[in-house]
Amino acid sequence: MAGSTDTEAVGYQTGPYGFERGRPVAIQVGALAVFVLVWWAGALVTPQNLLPEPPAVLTVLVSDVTSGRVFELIGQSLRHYVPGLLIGSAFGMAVGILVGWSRTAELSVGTVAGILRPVPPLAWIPFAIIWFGLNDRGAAFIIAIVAFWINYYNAESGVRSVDDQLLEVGQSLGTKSDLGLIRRVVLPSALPELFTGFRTAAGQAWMVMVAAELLGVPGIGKYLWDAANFLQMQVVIAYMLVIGILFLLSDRLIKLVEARALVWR
Amino acid sequence: MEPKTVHDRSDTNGADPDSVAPLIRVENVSKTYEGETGPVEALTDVNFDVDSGEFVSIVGPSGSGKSTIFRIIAGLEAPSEGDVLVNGTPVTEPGPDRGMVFQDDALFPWRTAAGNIAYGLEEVGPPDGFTVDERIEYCLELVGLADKADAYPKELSGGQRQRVGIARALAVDPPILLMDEPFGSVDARTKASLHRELLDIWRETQKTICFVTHDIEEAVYLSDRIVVFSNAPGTVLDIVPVTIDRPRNRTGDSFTRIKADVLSYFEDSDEP
Repeated sequence: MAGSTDTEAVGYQTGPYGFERGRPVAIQVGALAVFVLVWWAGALVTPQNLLPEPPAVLTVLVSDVTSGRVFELIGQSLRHYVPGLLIGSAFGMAVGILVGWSRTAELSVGTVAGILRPVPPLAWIPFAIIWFGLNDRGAAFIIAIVAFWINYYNAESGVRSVDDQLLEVGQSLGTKSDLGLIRRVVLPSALPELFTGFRTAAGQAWMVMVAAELLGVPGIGKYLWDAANFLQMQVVIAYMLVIGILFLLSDRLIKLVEARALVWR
Repeated sequence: MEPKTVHDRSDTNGADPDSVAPLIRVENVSKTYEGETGPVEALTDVNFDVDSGEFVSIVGPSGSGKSTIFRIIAGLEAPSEGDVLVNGTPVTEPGPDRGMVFQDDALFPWRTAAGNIAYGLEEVGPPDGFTVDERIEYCLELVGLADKADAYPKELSGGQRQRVGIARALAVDPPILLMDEPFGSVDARTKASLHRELLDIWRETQKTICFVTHDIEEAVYLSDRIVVFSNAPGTVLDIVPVTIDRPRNRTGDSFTRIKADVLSYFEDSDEP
């Protein structure tokens, strides 16, 4: 059989055509410019403390970056953002995989989950306070709840969509136990959905973090709320932008890892 | 349709008159599914044997239960009645003694060609006289894909993916290869070369092959014997020996006669 030829073409993916390459950037820059101009125009016709002008926001950003305050606040926020996201995601994935794999778990755990799911994460704040207190752990708890649900549902649907034939192949090649099949067939097969879940959770976690810090836990969100109390709207907008940038950075970072892990796609 | 008499086994070239027991024995197998409107009979009292080293095809129209018998021999489904015996032992689950090849290759997309072949070796270890790496190399060479070891399934053509599927099934050196319409979705030219390659592999590895197809010409080209299945509920209408010397000429007289013979069972139905 060696040396046989195959007549079918190999379908490597090709990049976009040249003329499509430069334009998206131009459109993006243009849209941003229009956005800033509309904002600026709006700021000029409204009272100062309703909508600050872009230069005022820029001043805050420049001074807080040079003083290092931005990084100090990011560091404070990461102390509950990272553990909350990681712990919530790990539990969400584990439970989602279990429910997607086992009919018994679907009927038991899945039913309970169906009841708890509609509870808004922020409704857990009272429990966060009495269980953990106004600290990083309390805020991490709220973030973990958000991360849990997103990862749970993505993992569950990822496991359900595993091709039965791949499981049969795994069995015929000697994988006997459920744990073996989950580890060697289900997990790699569902990995794209697990990544999607984690990436979505990482994004949502930034949003809920601001709300969780409202409790009084130090971080970007808390700082933003304090500024709002003094009507320093230029500070509020500056830190809204910081959160936006953090969101984009974390999203890019996870996408980068995802592309590495999923080269086979 | 009146079933024809089952051919006498002793006149087939695949049967060894000295052999004690067949490698695969399908014994009074029936299969009934619980359908929405009551039980649906997929197989009724199916009996046939496959001897060691034999190439046996199972042909029948779609819905004839030929995939069901494949799944029962594979151990993926249990028969409602009867037994499938491999080496005298009833089949209860899939296992590395029966390699499986599916129509839509069913490769692990996250593993390279070599990684797919490695899967079974990681579970049950390489056959005697091989290391894992040597076995992977041997299997890749067997299917002519030595240069594709590091390619992912998405980078391979349909024909190449089927070759990897065959190599993966052969890696753990199972005595039996079960193939469910493996060439059903490749183009005609690739199919013809895959037929020749499969026969070469069969000769070199001395496997027993059980090959499900709805393509009668394919069955006549490849097989020692053809088990002809009826429309649902599936029963064995006939077992046709093919005694033509290989390589077979698809347009030769005896080839076309056997093809017409098998086809005659399905003349009043639309398929195959």
